[in-house]
Amino acid sequence: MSVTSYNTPADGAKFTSGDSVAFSITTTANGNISLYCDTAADPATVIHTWSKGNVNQETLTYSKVFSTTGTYYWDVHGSYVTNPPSPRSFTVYAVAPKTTTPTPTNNSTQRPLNQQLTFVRPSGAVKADVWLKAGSGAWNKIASVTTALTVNPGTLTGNTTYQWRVDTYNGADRLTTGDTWQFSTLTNPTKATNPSPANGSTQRPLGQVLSWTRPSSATSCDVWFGPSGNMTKVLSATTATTYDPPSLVHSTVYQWRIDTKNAAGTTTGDVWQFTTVTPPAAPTTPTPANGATDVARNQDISWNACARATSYRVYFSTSLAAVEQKQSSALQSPDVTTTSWDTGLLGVNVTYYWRIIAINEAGSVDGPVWNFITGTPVIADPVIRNYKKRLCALAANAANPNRFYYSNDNVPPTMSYVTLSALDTTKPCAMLEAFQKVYIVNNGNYFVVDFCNTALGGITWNYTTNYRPERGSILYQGSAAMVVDCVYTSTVYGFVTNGTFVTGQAVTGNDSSGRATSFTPTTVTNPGAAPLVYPWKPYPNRLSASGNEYGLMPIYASIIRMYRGRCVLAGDKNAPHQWYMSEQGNFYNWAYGSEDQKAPVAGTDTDIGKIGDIIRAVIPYSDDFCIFGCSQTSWLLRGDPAVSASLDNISYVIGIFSDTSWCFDDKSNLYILNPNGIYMLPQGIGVPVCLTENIIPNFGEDFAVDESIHQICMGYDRIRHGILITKTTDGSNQNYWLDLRNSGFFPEEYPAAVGATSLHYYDAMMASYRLLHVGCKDGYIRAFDDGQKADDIISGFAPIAAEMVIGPLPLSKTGSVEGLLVRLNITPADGTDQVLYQIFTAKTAEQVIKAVETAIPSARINGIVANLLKITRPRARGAYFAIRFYSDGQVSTWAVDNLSGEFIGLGMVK
Amino acid sequence: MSDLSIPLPYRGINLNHAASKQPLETSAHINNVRPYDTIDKRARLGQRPGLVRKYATDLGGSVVAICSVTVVEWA
Repeated sequence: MSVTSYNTPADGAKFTSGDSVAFSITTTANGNISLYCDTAADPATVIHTWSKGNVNQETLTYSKVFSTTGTYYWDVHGSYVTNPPSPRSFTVYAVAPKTTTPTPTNNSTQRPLNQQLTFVRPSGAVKADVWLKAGSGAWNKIASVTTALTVNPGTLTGNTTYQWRVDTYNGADRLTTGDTWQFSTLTNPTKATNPSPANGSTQRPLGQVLSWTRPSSATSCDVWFGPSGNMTKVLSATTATTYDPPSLVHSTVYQWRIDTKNAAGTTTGDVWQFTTVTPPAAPTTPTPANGATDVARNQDISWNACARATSYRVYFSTSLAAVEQKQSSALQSPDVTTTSWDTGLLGVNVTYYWRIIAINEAGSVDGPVWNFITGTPVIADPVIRNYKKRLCALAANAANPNRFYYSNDNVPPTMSYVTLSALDTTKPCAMLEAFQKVYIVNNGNYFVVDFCNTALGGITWNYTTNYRPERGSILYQGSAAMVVDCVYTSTVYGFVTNGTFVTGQAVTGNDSSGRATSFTPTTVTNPGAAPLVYPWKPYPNRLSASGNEYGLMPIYASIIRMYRGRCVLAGDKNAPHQWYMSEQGNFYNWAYGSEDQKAPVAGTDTDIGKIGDIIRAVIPYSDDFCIFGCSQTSWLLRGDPAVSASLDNISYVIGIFSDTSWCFDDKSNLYILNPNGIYMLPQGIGVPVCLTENIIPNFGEDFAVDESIHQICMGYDRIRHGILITKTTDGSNQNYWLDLRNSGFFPEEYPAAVGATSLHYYDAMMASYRLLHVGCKDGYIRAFDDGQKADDIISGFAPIAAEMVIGPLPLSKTGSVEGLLVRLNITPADGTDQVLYQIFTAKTAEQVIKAVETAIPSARINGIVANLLKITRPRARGAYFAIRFYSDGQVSTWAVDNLSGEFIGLGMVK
Repeated sequence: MSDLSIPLPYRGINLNHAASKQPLETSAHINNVRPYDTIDKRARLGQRPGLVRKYATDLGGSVVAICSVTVVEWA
């Protein structure tokens, strides 16, 4: 019997492909011993035969490289091997493959510190060891895994390069060293950028908010902030990108820093700084200059623009203290952002104080107190031209009936004249001032005396290339321009607005329809000392040589006024009830019937109709109303007759004498002369009041106006606050002075030569001529002069026959008892030359009056008084007395300051 | 016996009453007198002011119409 034992490989041994497997047995068998080995459980493949020649115990070996993986079985057989052990097995494994697909990928960077390591373990690798090396450190096995494919290496260190590998093992626990992979962990974040405010900026507002840009590598920030050199951390690990610092102080340097943070660590940011706003600079350079004098009343104040100022506060006052102390009374609100302030209209010769406070967020800075004094204004002509008021007059000059007189300039006393052909001043004529011209109506003729227009003459109209220009159109000659006012035959009259027109150069223009005007004037007459004169006609046809495009003026008119910008004509002897009104603002358009609200209108052309009475006067009152004073009635026109107007009756019994027998006072009360009395129509045209009925009850008989022989005038004297009413015949005259201060009528009489034939208050530029002017019978224009004691007639001075009678007054308490004038005190006004006096007494009042009328004084009581006179024992006895003061027939004046007397009663009148 | 003020006819003419009833401060006979004197312009009755020529120009006949015109004149 042989004994055989198997030595190697042990049952279940493991080998890796390519390993040499060492078979070893120990046997006592001799002869051929076959080694059987294959993958069958009872192997049948002899892979080797030993030949042993003895029966000694001997170990036999054989090695073989197995490349093919699998489980092998082996045993031995031989002739002399008896009861061999059962087959043993061993397994040959393939080499363990390496792991692949690492995560993080090889050479990746910025891996988070909690990076997990992941890999793909291929089949054949039954176990893996994960090794990790940090930087230059040693390799550390951090895990042995059999199934897991992800290994947690723990918290990594930032800013570190790691190497790792996964060694795999096969079933034979044979190691395959894995590839070395590498990654680097997260680095510290970069710095914050884009600071706002920018580093180093200045004048930052006190509400400055900080902002920055956090880099994507940072997950949060620490914010440091504080005055320069004293930053503190104000925010920790914030994700915000703004910071609002509280309570910034002006004029301070602040520093701030943003430290960025991430898992890798913290990056210290740059230090930035800014400076907060500083208060503004003080105001300087005042206008007007400090202490300036003669400053214009419309002077605004201004100052320099103060550095850093955002607004200004203005203190302005006539009080120095108010400005110095910045009192509210001097404060001008609101604050301004400009460097000037509108003072409005300042006083005359007044000292003003002012100061400016410059303001910004940092605070305010007071400017100094400045002052200036306004000047005394010079009454300068407005704008760029002079205004003059010319007195104009017409006189019934038989030798020269065609003269129009005008004052030369603002310095009378002479008057010049121009002649108007066809003007006949010996016929009824009237004038109206409007639009710097005087319009004249005279015996069926109409004239314009033009003080403002320029005349371009010598024009031929061809109605193809040269149409008469439209009124109001502009004509040009180079840079010169004029506004057309009217056209008469071959002359254009227009108001020059620019430049100067000359002869020999073309003048062009277009009307509103584009029709051209083009001509070269042969004459140019500019306004100067003398006015232009030309007939007053309706505006001529523009498209043809003839026609009445602009209507017709009445054949005759003796009354001319202006109402609502329209010329009003009346007093047409052929149509005494008719009235005519031109277009508003255009005295050259008389084409009635248009529906234009400004169109000309006449009595027969409107719903109002003609007046049912003969029109004697047209009395306009501004734009409010117009009164038609007729022979026996009065009518009130309200509104514009072309639009909607009413014509209401004022009175059916009160008419007016003529177009010159009315006037307004300064309170807009209207006074009219009616043959039966003088009436006053209160302001707003109330109920007429007869002023004379209880004073001069027989006014009609006493005044006895006769239109065929009398010239009646009424005029308001603004200086003396009264109304002069004159009636002049062929020189002789009868007049009243109605004093509006005491509502008294005072009869007056003037020398025949100076009988009034016209009245006009001339509002002259010179104060000494600002008077009620009296046009007189003798061809001179006069005025009342307080310094003159007599009337100026051509041949000298005529004493004024002035008288007044006081009384009759009773000499006792009642008129039935006689009395005695014991003493009479006469106090003439200081400045009286002398005045004569007479004392009349009688038993009855009527006897006294009769004595006065016959000028027979009683009781030898008469005399002259110039100074205070005390008449004692005048022996004036009777029931009634009267005292007459009268002029001495000399060139003298007088006034009575006071009159008093002492009386005693006697017995009954016998 | 005392001094009595005798009223002057400040209210002008009045012809409306009986002679014995002539209202105070009026007169039935008054001419060329105005209530404000020319000396001091006070209300104390006196001779009216004289009419004086303001212009040396003789217009040659009754002055039948007067007006005034405001003119903007060339500078």
